[in-house]
Amino acid sequence: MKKKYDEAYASSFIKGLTRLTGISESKLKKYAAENNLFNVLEHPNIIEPNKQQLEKIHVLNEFISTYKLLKLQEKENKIVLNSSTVAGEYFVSLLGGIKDKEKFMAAFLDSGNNIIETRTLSEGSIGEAVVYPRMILKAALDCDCKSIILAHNHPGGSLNPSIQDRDITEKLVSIFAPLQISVIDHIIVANINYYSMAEKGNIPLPSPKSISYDAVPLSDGKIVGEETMGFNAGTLDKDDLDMDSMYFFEQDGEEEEEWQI
Amino acid sequence: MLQDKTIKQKDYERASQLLGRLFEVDSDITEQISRCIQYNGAEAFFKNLESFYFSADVFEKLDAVRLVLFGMGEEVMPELLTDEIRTQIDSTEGGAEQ
Repeated sequence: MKKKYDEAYASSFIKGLTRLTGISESKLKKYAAENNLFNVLEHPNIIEPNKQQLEKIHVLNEFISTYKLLKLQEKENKIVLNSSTVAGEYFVSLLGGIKDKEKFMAAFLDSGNNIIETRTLSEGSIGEAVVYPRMILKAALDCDCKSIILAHNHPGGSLNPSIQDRDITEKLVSIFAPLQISVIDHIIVANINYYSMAEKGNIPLPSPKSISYDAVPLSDGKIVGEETMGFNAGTLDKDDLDMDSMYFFEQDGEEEEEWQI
Repeated sequence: MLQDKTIKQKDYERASQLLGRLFEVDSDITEQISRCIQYNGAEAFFKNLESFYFSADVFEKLDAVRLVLFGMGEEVMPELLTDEIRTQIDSTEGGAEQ
């Protein structure tokens, strides 16, 4: 019975895709006979579409991501990122369709992990975006968040974090730790898949030496293997921090002056 | 049902603009789609597709998107159509068993 239902779903999918893109039903059916049909959306080149058909698939992918995001927003009218899976899917919906540039985003959360605000903090070229820690710091303080989830896409399709991805995460964890704001995850999106640093236990502990407000270029070119990443997996332990050597911001008054780092 | 205003307007606009690009239609159609999605919600928009006044051509394309979403396991078909599909499958299955 399940097989019949699967066939009905596949048949609908093929009919719709054919009508929208002009790719022939027979071509899609032939591919589906031996492969996972949904690969067609994720890796459209496998069915050798022409340029126009390829463009249509990209637009359709973007629409599907947006549709899922809207559904999520409408469901509860607030989005709770309470697990790496939900966070991963959320950012896939925002970054999954982007193939022509690298985009860096952050979701700022309250104490219940509800999203206060999600912001795009940098948009770069196909292989690189520059991230400004000061900008993220300002956004976080503006919305009085308790935690942050970082995310960016790899247009090149690699799910592995690069050296720069590790660096920016460590830097931001270290910048926010003295402010009692936790960077709880860094999601990397490639196509419609994601990698969660938290899920892999790769969120670094804060290190006073890592505090720097210099811009950090991200690139999906220089990949590091997990074994060489040097992350200290685990939870934040204040005893591990040399708090005295960290720079503390005043909570009240003269905020503008505090930005002169 | 008008969706809560806190849902970002730009996400609705983005969705309808992407459909506009996919269908290669004029901006007035895109605006019409945007209004319908906003007032109904994304899922209900597709479920109630038959109730909107789109031209046959636009309806056919929206229906094609609905078929793709349905194929991906999204609940976008009206109850009637889903029941029809189930009945067809069940009767085929029953016939095969005899």
